[in-house]
Amino acid sequence: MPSRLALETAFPAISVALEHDGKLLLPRSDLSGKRAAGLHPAILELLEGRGLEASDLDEILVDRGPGSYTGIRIGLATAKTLAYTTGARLRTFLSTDICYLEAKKSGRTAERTAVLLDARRGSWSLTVYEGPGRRVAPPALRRREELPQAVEECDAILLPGGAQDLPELKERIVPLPFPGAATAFELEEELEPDGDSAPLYLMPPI
Amino acid sequence: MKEIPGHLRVLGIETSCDETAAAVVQGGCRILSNTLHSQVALHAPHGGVVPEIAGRSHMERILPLVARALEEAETEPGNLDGIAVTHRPGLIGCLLVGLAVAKTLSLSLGIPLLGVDHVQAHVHAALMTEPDLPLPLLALIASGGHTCLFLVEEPGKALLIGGSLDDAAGEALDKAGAMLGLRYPGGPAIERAAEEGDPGRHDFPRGTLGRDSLDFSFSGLKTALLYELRGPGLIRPFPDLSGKARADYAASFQEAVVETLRIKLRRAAERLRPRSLAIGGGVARNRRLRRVLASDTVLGGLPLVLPPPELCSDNGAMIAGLGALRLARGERDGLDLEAFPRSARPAP
Repeated sequence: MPSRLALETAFPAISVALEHDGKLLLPRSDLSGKRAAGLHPAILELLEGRGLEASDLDEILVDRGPGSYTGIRIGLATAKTLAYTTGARLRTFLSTDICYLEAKKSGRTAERTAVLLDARRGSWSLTVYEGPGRRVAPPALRRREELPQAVEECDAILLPGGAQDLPELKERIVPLPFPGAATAFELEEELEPDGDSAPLYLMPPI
Repeated sequence: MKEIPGHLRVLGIETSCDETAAAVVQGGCRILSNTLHSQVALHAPHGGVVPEIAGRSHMERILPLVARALEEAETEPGNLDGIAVTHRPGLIGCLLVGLAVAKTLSLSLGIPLLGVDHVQAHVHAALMTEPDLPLPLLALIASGGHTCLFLVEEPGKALLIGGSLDDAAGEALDKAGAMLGLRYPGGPAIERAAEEGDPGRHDFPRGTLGRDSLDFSFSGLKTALLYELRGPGLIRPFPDLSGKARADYAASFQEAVVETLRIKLRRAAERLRPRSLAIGGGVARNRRLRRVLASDTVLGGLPLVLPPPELCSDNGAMIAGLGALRLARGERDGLDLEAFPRSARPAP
């Protein structure tokens, strides 16, 4: 069984998970409220906990967005450097894919499902899924006032991070906690991991 | 500097602002490679550093630069003894990219991580250039983000004795360049324009802050240029300057900056009686400043280190050099090392 490390840094709380010998391992230390400074100690804790070294990793999964630009860069810089030093395979995924998958596991998706993430400055990232998990519209930026029309045909609207001021969508909104890195290990069965290793920036830099 | 074993190889990573840099240094002073990607062209259309543009560029460039630095140094990652990285002061989003790479290298290679203060590293560049420099050393660091005086009684422990109260010298030069219609970055553009100008044509103020201060203020000088160009009450638009008029303004403004730096360095030297002098930071590349300091009769009795230009502007070698010193002293940082926008305050 390959050893795989997953990093999730696009959301407000970072998350790390290790899959080794078919078992899922999570850090014991509490990462809530920790950002960049907590990431590497958590990786080391996971590896040392199983007597592993970084060179024992076969694959690294990392979120490339949408989400916090700084967070995405920290995760990708870490994953790419690990791949560079260890030769492990680098695979990226979209943050919305693990949101969708988490909701699907608990039966909270519909025939056509939107994933909304607050992109700040009055904008939202919108990704649309259909049927068993096919991403039919890639993440795209929408202004707050465009949202009702943009999600008109969606039966469920997943809102990771919980309640926001979107009263006209209230009846279809499904609040979700931000998913952790471990969900990424399940992506291959249901969704294709994205092969691109560049950060996904939905907004221009200025 | 003799305390650093000659075999010690340290990789230095610098991403604090608008230069992405990586270098390998052996024995604390011997630069095996010094790679750099300047973002000047990316920021030029905006007239200054845009943090998000800088962060994106660091992300794109840093790992290929690290790989190139190792290749040029003919060093396998596994042959490194430590990873040094700038963790303060700087733009947080930029520092975090370098820190992520450095921490991952430290973790995966099983070698020490060494956080380095960027401004302290500028001071240290003088000791890398002249390792046997007599101490205490008085160092002037002038760049786009900092203008400071430091006293170094022990390598790696530079004591701040004067700093910027407002605009740094390089920042004032950049803003003056914009006012004169010169391309960003203004510092090198002003230096080029000044070559054809008369430094005595305009009498700009020297911000000395009284007879005793070792701090720096360049905002008054910048405002003086603004009023000179636009008139009392700023009633006129910026004038369409002829080449000669622009050159005279550039030369006079540059002279005021250089003279202010010289006055402060001389004042500090007279008070603190150092045994050597040095300059560093991007403004230290300015040839007029280098000439003026080298020919100053009061400062002239002391050895003056003018590091090569590539060690004056932001670079990875100075980070690796100071990191090597920390490593030789047995110092280490944890993987939870944080980034900070400012230098640490000295203990009271």
